[in-house]
Amino acid sequence: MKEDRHNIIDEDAPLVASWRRGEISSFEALVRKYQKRMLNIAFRITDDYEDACEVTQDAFVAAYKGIDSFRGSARFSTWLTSITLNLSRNRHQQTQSKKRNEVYSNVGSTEGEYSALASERPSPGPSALEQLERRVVHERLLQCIKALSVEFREAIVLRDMQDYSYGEICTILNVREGTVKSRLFRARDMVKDCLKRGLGEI
Amino acid sequence: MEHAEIRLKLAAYLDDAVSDEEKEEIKRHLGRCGGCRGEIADLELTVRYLKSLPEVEPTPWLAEKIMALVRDEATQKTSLWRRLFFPLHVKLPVEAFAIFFLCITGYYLTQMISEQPPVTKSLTVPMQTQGHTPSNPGPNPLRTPEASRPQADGPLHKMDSSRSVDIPMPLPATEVAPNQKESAPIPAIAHPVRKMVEPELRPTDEGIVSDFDTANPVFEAKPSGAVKRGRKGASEDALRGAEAPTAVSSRKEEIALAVDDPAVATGSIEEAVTRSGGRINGHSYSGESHLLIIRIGAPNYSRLLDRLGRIGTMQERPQLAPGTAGMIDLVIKW
Repeated sequence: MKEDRHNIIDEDAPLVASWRRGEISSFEALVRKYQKRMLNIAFRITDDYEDACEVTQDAFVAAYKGIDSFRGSARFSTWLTSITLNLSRNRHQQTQSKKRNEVYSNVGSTEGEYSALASERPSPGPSALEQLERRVVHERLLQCIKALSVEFREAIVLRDMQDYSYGEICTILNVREGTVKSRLFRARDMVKDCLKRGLGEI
Repeated sequence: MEHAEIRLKLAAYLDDAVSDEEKEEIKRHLGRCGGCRGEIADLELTVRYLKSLPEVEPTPWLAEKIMALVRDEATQKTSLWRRLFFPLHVKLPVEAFAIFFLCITGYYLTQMISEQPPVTKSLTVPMQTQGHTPSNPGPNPLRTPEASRPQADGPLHKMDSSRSVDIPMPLPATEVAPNQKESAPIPAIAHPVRKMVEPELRPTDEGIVSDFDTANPVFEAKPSGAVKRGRKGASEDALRGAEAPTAVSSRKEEIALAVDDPAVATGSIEEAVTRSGGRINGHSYSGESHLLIIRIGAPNYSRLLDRLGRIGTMQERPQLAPGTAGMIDLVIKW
């Protein structure tokens, strides 16, 4: 169930059209609108904030260069996400190939990075106990996500973290809907089992 | 659906991504299967945890850096565009026009050269059209080989026999009557250099006399070796090209003069030559032998002989044949 071009209402179409006419400010508006989403997608795939920033930059530059190839058959956000995901996947694979010869010792650093990033966010309001519990769950959850292979990770990131529809995920990953459902079920099931193993129960 | 199959669809059921029929069947199964109810509860909680994961914030410079990269890209794209297509839009037409202009010019030059009249045509017409001798009604076979020569030979070529002997020339053309000038086609050649070197011809009682002046560098180039042979000989010379002017315009004579004092007579002989209208082309004064090489017009020849006769004794007085015209090369010895 890929995106049907006749049923697509792309809220970004005016900005894209203006950008096509040479208004670089329209492109800047799209950058400011989607930079956070693309950064988070890249971050969840690459597991590295610096890599995620670079991937995000590269994705927007690639989109700027390749705007002629965007024909409007999908939403601009879908097209941009597919670019970001591809670049993130490539970066993740490069990183994994480097890590194969290194000692696995960066779990703590990733957690620390995550903690630092999370600490910058405003307090969500729950009690200290709830915050501690949630923090433990999140750290374990991140480990579980990292343990997933890329295709399952992509499914979870797109559906559960970024709320893309099944049709959009089909378009982004260029796979059929059955494949998306299967991957999503298996990814959730693995994360659930991982959390149970780490926390005893969820 | 079986229990295992329903479990595979629980994730989609959570997302409401199953058909209505599947949804009802899953609901019925969940009502009677505690394991699946626990499974879907865990999945729901897992999804809730996943959705609750905090997002990272982009750094403030991220958008600025992206835009800086994009602006650089836009500048490079523009310059590349100009480099590739600016010549196509502006320079290429200019270059194409230049090439087209050169082709057209070359074509017309080729056509003009190929349209030159053949050298065998109308020997008298060049004189008439060029206006050198408006009063000359007759033909001029002396000039025709060169006068009708194509301009492609170049403006500075001289009457060199090695270059012009192959030009064919019909013999009757040398006898063209004066009234033929009206019927002759007019070639378009007007050679500016030819005007400079061609002598002015005028009709005389003796026929056509070529009044070559001595300043003509073309005919001075090879003054010797020519023998006057009259009008018929001139026609034959014309057939041989460049030999013609020299052969007809001058002949070579030798005068031996006996004087009392050769050294004293030298000045008198030179004065006699110049007063008779001749020109001294060279001399050799050495010991007992004195030579003076002169050129003189045929009408002045007898006057010169008279003057020389008063200076010394002529061992032999060379006589010109009646009707002799042109210039005479003369060697005076004493």
